[in-house]
Amino acid sequence: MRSRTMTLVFLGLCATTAFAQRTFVSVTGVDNATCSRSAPCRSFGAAVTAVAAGGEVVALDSGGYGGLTITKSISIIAPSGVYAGVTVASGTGITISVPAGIVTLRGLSINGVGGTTGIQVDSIGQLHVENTLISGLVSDAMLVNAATLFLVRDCVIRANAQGINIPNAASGITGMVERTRLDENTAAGATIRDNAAVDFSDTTFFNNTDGIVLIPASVGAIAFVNHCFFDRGSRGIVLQTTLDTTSATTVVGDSTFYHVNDPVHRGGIGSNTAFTFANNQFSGYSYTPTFDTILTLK
Amino acid sequence: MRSSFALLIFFAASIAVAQNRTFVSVNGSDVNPCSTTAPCRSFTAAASVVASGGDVVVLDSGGYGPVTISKPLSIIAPAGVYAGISVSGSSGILIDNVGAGVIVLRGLSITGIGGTNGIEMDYAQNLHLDHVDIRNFRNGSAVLMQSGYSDHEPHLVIRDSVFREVAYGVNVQSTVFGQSVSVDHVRFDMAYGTGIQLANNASVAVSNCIFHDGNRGVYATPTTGSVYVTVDQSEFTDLLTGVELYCTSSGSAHAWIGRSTFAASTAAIRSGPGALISFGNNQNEGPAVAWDQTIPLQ
Repeated sequence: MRSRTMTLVFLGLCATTAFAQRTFVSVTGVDNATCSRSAPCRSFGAAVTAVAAGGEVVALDSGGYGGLTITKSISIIAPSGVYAGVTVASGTGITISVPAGIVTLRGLSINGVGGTTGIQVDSIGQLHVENTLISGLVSDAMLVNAATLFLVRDCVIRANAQGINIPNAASGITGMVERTRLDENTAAGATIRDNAAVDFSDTTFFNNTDGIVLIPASVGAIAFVNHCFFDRGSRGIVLQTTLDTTSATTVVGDSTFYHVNDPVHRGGIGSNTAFTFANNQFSGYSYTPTFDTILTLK
Repeated sequence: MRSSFALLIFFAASIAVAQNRTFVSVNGSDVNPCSTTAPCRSFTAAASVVASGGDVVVLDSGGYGPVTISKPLSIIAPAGVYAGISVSGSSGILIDNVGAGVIVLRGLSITGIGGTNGIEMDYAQNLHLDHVDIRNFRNGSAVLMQSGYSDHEPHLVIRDSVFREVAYGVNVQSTVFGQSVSVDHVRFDMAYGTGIQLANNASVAVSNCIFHDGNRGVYATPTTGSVYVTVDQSEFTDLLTGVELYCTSSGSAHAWIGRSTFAASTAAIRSGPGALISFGNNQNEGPAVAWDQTIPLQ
């Protein structure tokens, strides 16, 4: 009897210190050291602490699981059928700082009720944000300070000041935004600055003041726009350079601009270049879009 | 005895303080505080308790009853959960006295059982519908956008939805400031009737939609002011008319149509002031359209 109890205690300690490959949260859970399937935790924060690097945090049922800071490679997954909310009442909802790590966020609802930022990325090797709703943030839905690669797929980013905000970066940031809706963000759907290149595909911009703003400070920024729909708003793609050594570049193909007042805005004193595949549809604008180079379909 | 008194105080407090997230379940009760562990039974109860800008979340499949919404909020049924509203009265969801702010309805199934309209948007600035299935309103509208909000231009955004067996899919009434509608990846199976009806000063962007089996796909009938329509990558099949601009008195209407397919008795037709504009890349299996203008791709 004693030996069995001892063994159990020993196993328990092992499980605590070794970290689980998969941890769980539930609204009926209580934060504990293991966050196992049978004894789930109540918060993402506890489940992220308990999970092994490279492991998965899974939401078992619908509820709010709180904000968190991520400092190791993990996936946080709310499967279809589970609503996993993060309410951001102040500050930032999810902060990510994992140099060279891989983080996946899937199926979350991040709702700002007075908070500043939904997801703040301070460092990451690869970030995958999938099937996630980010809305109502006072400042940025996503603030990407540094990232080797970030992907936003099947998301809705709605009614924030900025959708995806990328400050001037010291080293290269590559982004891919696919099958996503950027709706009614009061400043811009995406703002891209130094050393960032972002590929937008199958993505709709509805009634943002600006769709995509390229405004690099000293080096350059690039936006590839393929099969996107820009629906109303003041400006579609903005190329704005502040130094004559700075370059802002966009390549636009197979896209539609409907009632965007200034579909391709060219400003600033540096080099800005707009390429087209000559297969885009423009209607209801006040300022005629101009392109520097027509790329031939092959 | 004392402890139950303390519980009473606790419940009273949780009801009095509006919550950022409330819950409904078929096992819930409306005397509950609509928390995740003590959910409510109806949308009406959960919507009254939730804070402005908060989320009402459906925990499991069932019917949750018609609801009147009078503040910004989201009602969310995650994928895998069926959240039904049966409508025998005038409107399944009435949105009124909201003013500014965003209302989101996601994952709902609204069925007419003698009722008039699925969703009625009156005094509200901003409504987003995601994954909403509305059917059997043969004398009314799946979505009726009233002219009640006259402070600014109101917005209606619909995506990934199905409207079936309705007299009108989306019925947009006239306003002074205009009504702005965006419809993406929506299927209209009208049985008879009209997909999208637009009155004075309305504008609509239609992308990736299918209009099937009815009188008209998109029908603009201004008597004053201007109506603007854009149609991209959509299909009009088994209809009398795909897109019809019918302008009388001082009303005018413009439609820009690209990358779309028509298998209708009449693909597109205009009477009165305005223009039918093609991007020259449509597929029309019926009689030729008298386009007023063809705009080259850029």
